[in-house]
Amino acid sequence: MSAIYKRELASYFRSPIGWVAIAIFALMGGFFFAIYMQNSSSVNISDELNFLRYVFFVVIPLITMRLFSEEKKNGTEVLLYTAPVPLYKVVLGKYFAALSLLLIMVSSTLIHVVLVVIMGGLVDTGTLGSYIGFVFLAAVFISIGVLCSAVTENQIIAAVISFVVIFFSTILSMIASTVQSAFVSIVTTLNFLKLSTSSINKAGEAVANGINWLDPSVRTDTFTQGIFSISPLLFCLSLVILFLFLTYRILEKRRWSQS
Amino acid sequence: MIEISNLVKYYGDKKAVDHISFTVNKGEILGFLGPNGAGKSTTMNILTGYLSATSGKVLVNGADILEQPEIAKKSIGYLPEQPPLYLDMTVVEYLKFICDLKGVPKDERIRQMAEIMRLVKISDVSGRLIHNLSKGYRQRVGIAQALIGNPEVLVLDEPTVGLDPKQIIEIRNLIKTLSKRHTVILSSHILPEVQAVCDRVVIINKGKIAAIDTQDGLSHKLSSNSKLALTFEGPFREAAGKIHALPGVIDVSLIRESDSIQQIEITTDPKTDTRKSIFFAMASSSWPILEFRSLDPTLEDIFLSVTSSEEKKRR
Repeated sequence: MSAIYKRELASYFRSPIGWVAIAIFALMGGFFFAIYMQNSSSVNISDELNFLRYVFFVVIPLITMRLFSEEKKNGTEVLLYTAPVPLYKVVLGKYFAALSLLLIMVSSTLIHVVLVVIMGGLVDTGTLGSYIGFVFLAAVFISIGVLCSAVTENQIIAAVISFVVIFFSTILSMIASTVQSAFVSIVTTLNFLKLSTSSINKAGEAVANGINWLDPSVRTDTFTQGIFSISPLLFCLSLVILFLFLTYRILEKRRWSQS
Repeated sequence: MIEISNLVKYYGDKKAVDHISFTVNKGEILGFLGPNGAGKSTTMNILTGYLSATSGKVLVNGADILEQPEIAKKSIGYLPEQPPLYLDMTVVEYLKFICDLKGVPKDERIRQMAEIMRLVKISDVSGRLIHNLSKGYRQRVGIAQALIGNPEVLVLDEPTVGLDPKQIIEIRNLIKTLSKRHTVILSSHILPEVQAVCDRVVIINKGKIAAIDTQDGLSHKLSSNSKLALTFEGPFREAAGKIHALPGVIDVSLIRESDSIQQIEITTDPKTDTRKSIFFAMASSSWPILEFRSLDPTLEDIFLSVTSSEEKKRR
């Protein structure tokens, strides 16, 4: 597993991809930080990280798109599948390489933390919580990217699919409130069962909650206030395991496929 | 060493591999011969564990490739049709990665890599990016990759495809050298290659085994009538008539004629040795024999007769 991890991480820096991803991330982070510093009396790193979540759907497809698709295209996957290494270790090696690159990217924002500390700003458990939530969210999205890369041998398609999926999961809370209001208005107009307004509103809320239940970023929201709990982390971890397991099964299935 | 039994692989409705069984003995070079699309690569992909068969079994050193893949794969080095190279790495970086991947112990690595690079003659390009290497060198790096971890079996899928004649000869010599320490399975659709390198040949066509034998055995089996080539000085028509009259001679045909020198091919019944009587017949007419030799069927003949007889059977 370490062989694949090392090669994969090194290959990010052999090609422009690793550098470009880090550059985008550092640029967006720095940009936000500078503007924020100018326009606001207080600086909060959590806000910067919340903003940087919107960079995910550009950066994560960029760093995950080639993981499996390129191997397939270049015929190097034969090497990995005929080596005495179990397939799940191949998947994990690649996943951790992408995750490590993301950690390197995130560490570029530590300069801002240092600046905040120097200038007497607030760095507390909320900041730490933001980082933890941020990394776990990224871990989930990377596993989605890995899965997309295993589905197709075309890097562009892999990138587009993971872009769409990550984009929609990022705006899931917006989708939830839209669906909620749509649900409430539809049920109110078509009120065959003569439900009371309050119960319709309650049902609408339940629908929104249901959608939000799926959203890893909503779950880690309390982290930014320094309130930690284990269940959001377990939720993210379960998603990671789920997507990586699906990746593993897809790759395994390809060996058996008869087409 | 390797036992393959009743291997079947479907691609959709198409049977790419149809009940293939054979064994490979330790230390031999087995040639795997067939036209393009016969199922050679599919079989090799299955026996190296890259693909899974629809049914059937592959045992490598007694370990099932599906049930104990790690053990089985450890004793196989595989060079697929397209060498699996990372073009963005240098040769040394690449081989180090392969060592990592195959779990070669750290203290053996440098020695093993140096030895292999010397053997396949890539030491002089060790620091270069694989991207910048010629096809011949890339093929060698591919072979080096298969050799790392010192596997007992080497599986080489069309190792000389796309190389120039000089490189082909070098690669063949390399394979012969390798066979001293490894069991080699080699696929090819080029007949002289198999003839030049292999001890035993498996011929497959349309996913089925058409023949398995040693080269000599195959030649014998298929020489339903033996042929002689004769070059002499004298008139063709008279000589042909005289030879044709001899017992055991089936046919006489002219191959080439220049001035008074004739080159003819004589087809004889393999049960009777006609060589002496032909000699005396020529001598008694004072037609000097310039060349006289028996023609063994080439693998090409074998291949054609085997594959076409398969087709006839099917019809």
